[in-house]
Amino acid sequence: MTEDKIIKAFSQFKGISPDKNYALFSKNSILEARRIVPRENFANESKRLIFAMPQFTKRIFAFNKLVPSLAFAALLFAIIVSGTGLLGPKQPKIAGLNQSLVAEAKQIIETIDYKLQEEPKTEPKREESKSIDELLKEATL
Amino acid sequence: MLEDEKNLIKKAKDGESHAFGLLYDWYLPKIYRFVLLKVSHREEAEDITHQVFLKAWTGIADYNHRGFPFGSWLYRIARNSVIDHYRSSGRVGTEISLESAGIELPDSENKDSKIDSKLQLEVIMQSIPRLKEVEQDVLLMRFVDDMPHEEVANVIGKSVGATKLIQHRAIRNLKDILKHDRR
Repeated sequence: MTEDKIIKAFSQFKGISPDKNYALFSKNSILEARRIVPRENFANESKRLIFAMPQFTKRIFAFNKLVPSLAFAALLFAIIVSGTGLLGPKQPKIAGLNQSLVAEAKQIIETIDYKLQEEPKTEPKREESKSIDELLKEATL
Repeated sequence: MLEDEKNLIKKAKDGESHAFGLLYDWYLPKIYRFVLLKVSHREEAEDITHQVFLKAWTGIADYNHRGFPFGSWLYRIARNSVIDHYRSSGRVGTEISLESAGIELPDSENKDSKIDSKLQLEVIMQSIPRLKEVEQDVLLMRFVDDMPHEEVANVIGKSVGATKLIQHRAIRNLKDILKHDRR
């Protein structure tokens, strides 16, 4: 077959067109998909991941696979517990009080102490000298 | 190129589904036949084409016009989708008839010549998936969709010179396949 014949044969493929019902259904479902998921969710990758998470968990539980479900539940529990700090190193306690509370109390006491030191000392008022007339007056009363 | 395409793209980027619907109507037959001639399976071609437009609609906010028609971007998505399809299904083309592809040959007075053309077309259609991916793409874009070399080069990510060379090799390889099958 010559090159011309091959090229002519290719041009006949222009007659290929999709089924009209398929085209309509596909178009509607594509446009609908965008309406369900807001545009901003696609703009941000992290938002997209968050959006995908519920679908992911649903899929795991929908298949009723016990082991992956338990593993996933354990993973979630570990994330929550570590997030709240329950698995972190325990603070040493003094007489039932949390170490940080004690430190805070110390800080307050030190501040008060410092402020007391800073207060200007009030000197006792000197008695004013009295004149002889005044003293005589007091003596005669 | 679709009239007022830039304006439609702008509206589609702003989330106007009607504008994207018009782009869909224009490009659907092109993308569908491109995919069908590559995968040689109607239902699979329909699924892949659907995925192409879904990806385009969800990702249109990131689309940047680079001087080529919107179709270039769709062809790029289609190429990747077909490659992904091969990877996931492990299937590479099956035989497809002209009837199932929806091709009708023009009526001819000579019945024998019509049969000959039909056989030739079917043989060519079944030979396309035996070419290299890039060779298939170049031939389909050049001779089915009449795309200029520059646009084809943009889709496949090669220079215009390299695209012309791929086209030349593709025709030569297709001729070899057809010659070999005739023996």
